[in-house]
Amino acid sequence: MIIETEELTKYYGRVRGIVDLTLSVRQGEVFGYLGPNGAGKTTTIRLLLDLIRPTRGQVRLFGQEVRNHAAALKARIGNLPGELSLWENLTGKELLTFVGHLRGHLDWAWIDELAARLDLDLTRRIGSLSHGNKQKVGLIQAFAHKPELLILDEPTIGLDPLIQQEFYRLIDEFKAQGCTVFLSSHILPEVERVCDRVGIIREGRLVAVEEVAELKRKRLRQMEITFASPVPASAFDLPGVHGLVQENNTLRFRVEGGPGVLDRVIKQAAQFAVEDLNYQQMTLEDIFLAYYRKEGEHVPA
Amino acid sequence: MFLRNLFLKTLRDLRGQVWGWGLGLGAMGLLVVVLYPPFKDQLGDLVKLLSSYPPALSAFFGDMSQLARWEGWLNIEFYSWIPPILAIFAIGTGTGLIAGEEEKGTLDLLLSHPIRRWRVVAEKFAAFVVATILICGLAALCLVIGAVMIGETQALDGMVLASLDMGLLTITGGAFSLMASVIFRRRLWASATAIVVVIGSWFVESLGKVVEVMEPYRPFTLFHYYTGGAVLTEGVNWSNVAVLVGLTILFFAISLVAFQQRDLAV
Repeated sequence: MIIETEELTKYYGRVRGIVDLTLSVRQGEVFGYLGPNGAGKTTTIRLLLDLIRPTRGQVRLFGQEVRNHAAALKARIGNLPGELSLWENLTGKELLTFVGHLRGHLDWAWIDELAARLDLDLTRRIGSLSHGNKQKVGLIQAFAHKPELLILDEPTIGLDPLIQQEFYRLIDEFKAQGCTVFLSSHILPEVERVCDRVGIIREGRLVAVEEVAELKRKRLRQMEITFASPVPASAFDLPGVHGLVQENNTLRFRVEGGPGVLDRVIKQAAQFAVEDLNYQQMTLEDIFLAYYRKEGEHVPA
Repeated sequence: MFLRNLFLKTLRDLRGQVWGWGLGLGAMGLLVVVLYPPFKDQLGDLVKLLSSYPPALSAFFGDMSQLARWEGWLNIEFYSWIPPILAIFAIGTGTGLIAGEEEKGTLDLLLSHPIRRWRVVAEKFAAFVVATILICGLAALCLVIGAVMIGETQALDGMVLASLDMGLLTITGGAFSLMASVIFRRRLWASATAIVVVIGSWFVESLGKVVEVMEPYRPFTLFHYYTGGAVLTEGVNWSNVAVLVGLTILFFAISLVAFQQRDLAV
């Protein structure tokens, strides 16, 4: 295992950070870490990097306890902090020179390639860069030494769509070379595009860990059908239909499952006069909440 | 070259302060020096007048009768009142070394790299020490150039040593400020504490010379161990130097240990 946490708990005084977080990330895996703001994503990442110390529980990276081996472990990690702050009086090139010296080596050919692929001018002073370009500097310093583990806190915030695609390709390349990636995000297409597994954290607790392939298989969608006249809700009491709500001529419900389920719903709807139909993908968080609300508050990893 | 390590980068970040403070103090020093010849010419009556000042004033601004002598002039007009001003640099920079980066958020980025926490404190403090020595060195250089210009060359080595003693006091104040910032995490609280302790110690030491009730508290102030301009006439007071060096090491060591233990603020 590359990342292992065991009942990891952090309180800031009386304020909850994270509670009893037990999680494992395998080598070569891209792990998406999801949750609303304040759920504890950044707290988890800062604990992984020994920037803060746990109230109780353990963190091991590469099988070693973080607290006692922090500097040596960080040599193997590339990190993009959330709410990134950079030394604004330096240029991108100067910043990379400095952090390169901290790491003891610099591969400028690779850095120049990264800058070209992310479309960033490294000669400009960081203070004069847009938020998106600062984020690119942050990504390049994380990728620059070709780390074995990437820890990225909301990496695509502020990046335009083309650069986001390039970022996804970079993640694919790192993964192909055996690199492990731990990234926090709240963007469903991003997670589906790059992650192998996702964990969701809510109010400091890990509520679920799921394979992305499995989530895709479940295909949870929200459907809303408006009929010409009221239709009894019982007509849609079908397998794979959940959370049915009727409002005048409109029925709202979740459709869970593969094509067979959808086929039955459509055929049933066709029995009545349909005026409007809205069928949309739910956010990953909604999907998780839909699943785990009914299965209890706390699901172990 | 200045991006080779954290020590040099911190020194690079402080370079504006080094030039600003060094040349600023140097300019003040030059002014004090070039004012000495015309002042000396009118000494007679003035010394009598100054000697009649109440002791409380003398305590704050130095024994006015000393003004008649070159060393006394430098002591009162430069070495007595520059250190409390230089304390602003010590507190501003000392609290900023760790807490400044912490509040900006750049400490998270720095400590994402393979550098040990104690090295962060050590390299940053070392850069502050060098910057302080450069500031006091620049000030001393200007004073020496001025003294040579007006032909007062009898205490040049003393001027350099007195300037370094001023630097040592500033370093001790900076070490206290660093320690306060590591303990309190917030620059505001650290600055407030350092102002009370460092600037307050100047008041206690100055008042303690004339207000009997404050006299017992003088040994508990940093300024009590500052020899300053008296170096010009009495030489370096090594026991004072030892106290300031000892306190600096103590404050620095507490900073190292405290920073090693604690969480980084968000």
